[in-house]
Amino acid sequence: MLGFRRSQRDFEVEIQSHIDIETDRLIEEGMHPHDARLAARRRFGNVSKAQERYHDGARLAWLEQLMLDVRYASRMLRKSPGFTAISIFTLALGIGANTAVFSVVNGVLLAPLPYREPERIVKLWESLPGTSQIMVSYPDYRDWKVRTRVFDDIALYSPFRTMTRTGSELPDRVGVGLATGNLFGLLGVAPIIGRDFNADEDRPGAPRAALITNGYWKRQFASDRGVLGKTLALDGETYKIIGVASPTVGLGVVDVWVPMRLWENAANFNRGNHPGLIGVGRLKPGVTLAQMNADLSRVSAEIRAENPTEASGIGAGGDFFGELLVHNIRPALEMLSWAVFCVLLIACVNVANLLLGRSTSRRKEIALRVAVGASDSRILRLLLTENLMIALTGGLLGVGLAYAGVKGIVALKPVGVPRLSNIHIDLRVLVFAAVVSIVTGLLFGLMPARQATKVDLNDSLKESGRGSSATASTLRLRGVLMAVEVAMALMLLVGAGLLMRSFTRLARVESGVDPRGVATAQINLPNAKYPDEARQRVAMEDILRRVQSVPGVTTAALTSAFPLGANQQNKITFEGHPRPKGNEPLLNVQYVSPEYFSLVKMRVIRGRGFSSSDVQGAAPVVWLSETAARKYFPGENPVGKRILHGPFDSKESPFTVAGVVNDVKETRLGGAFGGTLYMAFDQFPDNSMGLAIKASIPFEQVMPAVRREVAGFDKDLPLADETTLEQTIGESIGQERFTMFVLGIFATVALLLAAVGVYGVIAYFVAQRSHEIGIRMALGARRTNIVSLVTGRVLVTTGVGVAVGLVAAAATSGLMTKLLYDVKPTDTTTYAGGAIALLLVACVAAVVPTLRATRVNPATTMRSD
Amino acid sequence: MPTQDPYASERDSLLQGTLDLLILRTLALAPHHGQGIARVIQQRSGDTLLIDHGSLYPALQRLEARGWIKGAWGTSENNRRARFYSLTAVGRKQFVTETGRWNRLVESIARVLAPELAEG
Repeated sequence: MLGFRRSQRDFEVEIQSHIDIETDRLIEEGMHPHDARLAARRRFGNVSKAQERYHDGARLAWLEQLMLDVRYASRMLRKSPGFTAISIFTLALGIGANTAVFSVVNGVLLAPLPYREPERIVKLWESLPGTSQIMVSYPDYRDWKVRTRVFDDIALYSPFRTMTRTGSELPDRVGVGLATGNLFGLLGVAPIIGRDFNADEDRPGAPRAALITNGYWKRQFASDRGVLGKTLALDGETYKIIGVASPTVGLGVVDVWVPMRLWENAANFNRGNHPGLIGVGRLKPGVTLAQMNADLSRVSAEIRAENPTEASGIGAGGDFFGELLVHNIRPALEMLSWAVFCVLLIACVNVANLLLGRSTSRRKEIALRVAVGASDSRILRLLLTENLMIALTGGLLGVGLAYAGVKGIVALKPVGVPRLSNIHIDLRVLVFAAVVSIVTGLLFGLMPARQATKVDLNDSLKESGRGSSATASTLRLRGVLMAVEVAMALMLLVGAGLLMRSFTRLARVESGVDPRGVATAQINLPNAKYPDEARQRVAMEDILRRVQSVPGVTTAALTSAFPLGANQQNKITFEGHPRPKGNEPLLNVQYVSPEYFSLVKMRVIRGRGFSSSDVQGAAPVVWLSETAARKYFPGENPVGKRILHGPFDSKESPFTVAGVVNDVKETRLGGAFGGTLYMAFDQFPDNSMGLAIKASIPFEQVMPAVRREVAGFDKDLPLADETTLEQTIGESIGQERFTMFVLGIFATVALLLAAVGVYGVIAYFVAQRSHEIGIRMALGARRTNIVSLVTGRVLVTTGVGVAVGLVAAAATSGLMTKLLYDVKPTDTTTYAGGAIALLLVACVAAVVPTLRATRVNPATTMRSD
Repeated sequence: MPTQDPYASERDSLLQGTLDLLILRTLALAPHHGQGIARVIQQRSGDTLLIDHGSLYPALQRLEARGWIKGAWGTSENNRRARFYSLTAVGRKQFVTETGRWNRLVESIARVLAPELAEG
């Protein structure tokens, strides 16, 4: 505020006296008094405005100045549209990339789970020696509930069932989850409408009740509130809909939840079975993971002691629910966050570089301003306003890019990214973008602005922008910035290169089957209609024959699992190599019809393939995968050996090994072979089987007929999960492909920005040296000399950047370890490739300015002095 | 001293420095009221500089606030009550500084303009 202020009245009097004096003078000059007064007023201008300016000035000074700064800055930016557009677009790329990645991080990693106090919720499982995680046995769970001390409550769920819903127009495959009645209460989520299971519903033989999920409610019932009290016919049983469950996260893909204890008396709910049940616990406040695991170990020891046969070797453990959900995606997101940060820094450096290039022409303008009384801080503020305007406009555009990017990411449905629907641009993301924009504006603007205000008045006004110490230091600074930019671009390039190499290796991994031209689908026979193995066998084989008869189908086969899909795992005992009880290995078990091996081109390495006698009633046969054979019959021929399903004292009749087939990746392309046993479907039928189909004509033409054949067998039987084996295998590396794709985009952006940066610096260098080049050429230097002068400059600066980048990439490559398959984070080929690529790009970027240098006309440069 | 100058806006940045200098120069000769200052500047510049009164009074306030000039109510030649401004000691010193600065600026601008003319 001003130190003193006169009253408004005093000021008015002064102005009035001014007008009076002016009027007097005009009258003296011979003007009519009336006209003279009007003229005096007119000459004074707007009286009230002058007063306003005086009195409101101080109060509005801040805002007014800001607006003036903004107006001035936009004028300056409009004056150089090229610079403005490039800067804004560069920053938009950087800020947009960061905003997009942050919205993913925000939705996936940062946003709390939609449960009450989610930090106390854990997932629980059991373990066997050699297998760290297996599903929970129901009786073990009952013991946990009673004996553990660290939990408020424990629940179980199982999201793996599919049932057939009948009664609606078409039979429908429904994902059914079993949940103990306390599951939703434990999570702390109330149903959207209706009510949760009550105690009377979660018991064996209870009237059947169902909670449908929000998605199923929307899809099947158009979110109709009248759904309460309606019934669902699932696998021939009727369930009453009691409510619509709140959306859950991390509980699998489920359409309908039903009470678990309806199955309590099922055969596989005994102590020795682990039928796809997963534990969920709510820890008491303050309990650590270590305390929980100690408590579970204590209870497991008791269970082992009390059930030496069925629970031999059993252990238990768990981890935080939220952590498990993001465990797989976290390394990729962390790496991508650093990558986009690098992109933003490169963008900042680029704009800083542009600003420095402008500062030569700005220097005179600024000197002029200083000369007429603007202070350093005033100039600094003006420049920062300009920079912030660039940054904020870039940020706005960036948010637009991010919006499109996030839409794209969600639309791509990247495999393995949890909570996709939770990824959007919300307030937190917008605040993030705004903060990033402002920090960016200060970051890229401060250094050039300081450089610009460090002007020596006289020097700058005199200097016509060449050869002075100030320009030399600018050139040096720009060289440093260019090196920084090159270094960061190289880091991204190396990262993307490593992922790409890793991905190509992963994609080239042999799955063990030939997926080409194989379509797959699922058939699930409802237990109510097909209650026993005999009926299931007849039905499945009838369906198979019908499918095989479809015109265009060359072969079809039944299989209980597909490569890279979930497998059933059972304890196996090998003849001659029994393991101690509780230590029996778990092996994947797959039931197939005779056509399967040849359909997916699996090779029989030893023994025989299927024969027509491998049917029900004949001696049970089994084929081992190579890995299983090598592991459990080392140095022996396993053909003819016998194995037992279960522990060595299992009462089941033994299988005879008929042959050895080649290995197939059971879970992940990047994973090791676990070992698989193949058994004959006819000897061990099941109600849920996969159908593999090979056709001589395109699937789009075959599948409708296949569907008709299945419906012809049983009109209530849907054909589900239609896909191809190639697609299944492709999707299994979807997350890797996605990470590589996204980092690839960022690396490309970084490379382009770096190229622009190199171009800018070299163009500036040439412009600065055009005088010198002119003289050299006048003195007889040849073009090649000039080219080598410029190229030398490019190579020196880029070379420094590349060297720094290589070291930095190696130093940060630890971030990549978890993301790479069969590629070392310090893979020399990738590093060398990245370095060469960058040097090449730098040289290409320097071509135009170099050519311009060789076309310098000595006469012109000499004259311009 | 004011910590913030409400009129130091970009709008008159060029004018501001010069107008201040012109006012100081006018008052260095004799005290004047506002209308007198405007008239003197106008006359001395050969009617090329028409002073915007909307800028003049804020400039006077500013200079007064800085303590370079001081104002006092008096009577004009026509017996009108008017506020007369005169230079303070600080103002007089400032006038010398500002004049030097101005001369440097003019010289500098001339130098800037000269080579560019030659270039064209």
